[in-house]
Amino acid sequence: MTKNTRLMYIALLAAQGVVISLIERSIPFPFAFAPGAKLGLSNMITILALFTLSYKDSFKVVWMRLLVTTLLGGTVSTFLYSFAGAFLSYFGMLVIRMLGPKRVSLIGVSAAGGILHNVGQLIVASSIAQSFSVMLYLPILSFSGIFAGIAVGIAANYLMEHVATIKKIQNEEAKKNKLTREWYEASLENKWNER
Amino acid sequence: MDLKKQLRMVRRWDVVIVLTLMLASFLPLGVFTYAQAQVKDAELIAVISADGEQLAEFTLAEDGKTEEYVFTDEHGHENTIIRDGLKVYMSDANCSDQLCVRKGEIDAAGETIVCLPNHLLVEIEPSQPDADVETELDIIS
Repeated sequence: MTKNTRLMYIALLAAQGVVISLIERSIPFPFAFAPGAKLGLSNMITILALFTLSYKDSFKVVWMRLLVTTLLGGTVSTFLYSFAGAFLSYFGMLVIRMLGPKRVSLIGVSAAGGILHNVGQLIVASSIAQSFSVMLYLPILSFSGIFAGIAVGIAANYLMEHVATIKKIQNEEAKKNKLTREWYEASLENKWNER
Repeated sequence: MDLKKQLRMVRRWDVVIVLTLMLASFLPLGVFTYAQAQVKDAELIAVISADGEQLAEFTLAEDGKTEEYVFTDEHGHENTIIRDGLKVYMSDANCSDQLCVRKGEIDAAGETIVCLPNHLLVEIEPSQPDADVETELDIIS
C-alpha cells in the first residue's frame, strides 16, 4: 500500500462520515424526548477506521469528519456535542477493541460506542445547561444507543467482509500491527467456518 | 444477509460490557431519586435559568392561573415559558431545533425543558430542598 493509497482511503472514510452525518441530521427525530439525541450512524466510519488503520490514522479520520461536518452547517454548540460524543466513543471503542477478537465482537464494540456517544453528548448538554437533571435522560439515550450500535456493528461487519478494498487495507495494516492481525485472522476464520 | 449468522459472533464480553454500560446509565437516575426521597416537601417550583444563572421561578399550584415569562438576551435569543396550573411548557422559541417546544408539558420534580441553542433551562424542583441534598447535587453537577 503506497502512501497515496492510504491518504486516499483516509480521505474517503472521512468524506463518507461527513455525508452520513449530514443525512442523519436531516432525518427529523420523531420524539423530542432528549436534547441532542442522535443515532450516531457515523460511528460506522469510526469503526471501519479503527479496524483497518493505525491509531494515528483512525484518529485523523475522526477529527477530519468532525471538523468538516461542523463547517457544513453546524454551530458551536453542535460542534461541542459531536466532539464530546465522537471522541468518547472513539476512545471507548479503542479500549474495548484491545480485549481482542476472542472476547469481544464488532457488535459489542459498536454498541459500547453507541452508548458512549450519547454519554458524551449528555455530559456536554448538562454542563452547558449547568444542571445535573439533564443526565436523567441517560437511560433512554443509552437504549437507543445500544440498538443503533448493534445495527451499526452488523453493518460494519458486513462491509468488512464484502468490500475487497477494506479487506486489503486491513491486511496491509495487519502486517504492522499485532492487534489488527488478530482481528483480521478472526474475521477470516469466521468466513471459513461458514463454508 | 443472514441476521442469525451475524448475531452468532457475539462474544461473552460483549454482553458483559453492554449490560454494565446499561446499568451504569441508570446511575444518575438512581442518585437523583435517592436525593428526591430525602425531600419530603410536596410543593414544586419551576426554575428558569440561563447559563446557570437563575432568572425566574413559578410556584406550581392548582390555582387556575396562567403565568408567562419571556426570556430575552443580548444574542437575540427569545423563549416564552408558560405556567398553566401545575404544568409548565415552552410555548415559543426562536432556536434552531425547536426541541424545547416539542418537548411539551412537564409537571414532576426532576423534569426539565432544555433549550440548548439558547442556553436556557427550565427545571422543576421541590420548593424547599434539603440543604445537604442540594450541596451533594452541586458537587456532582
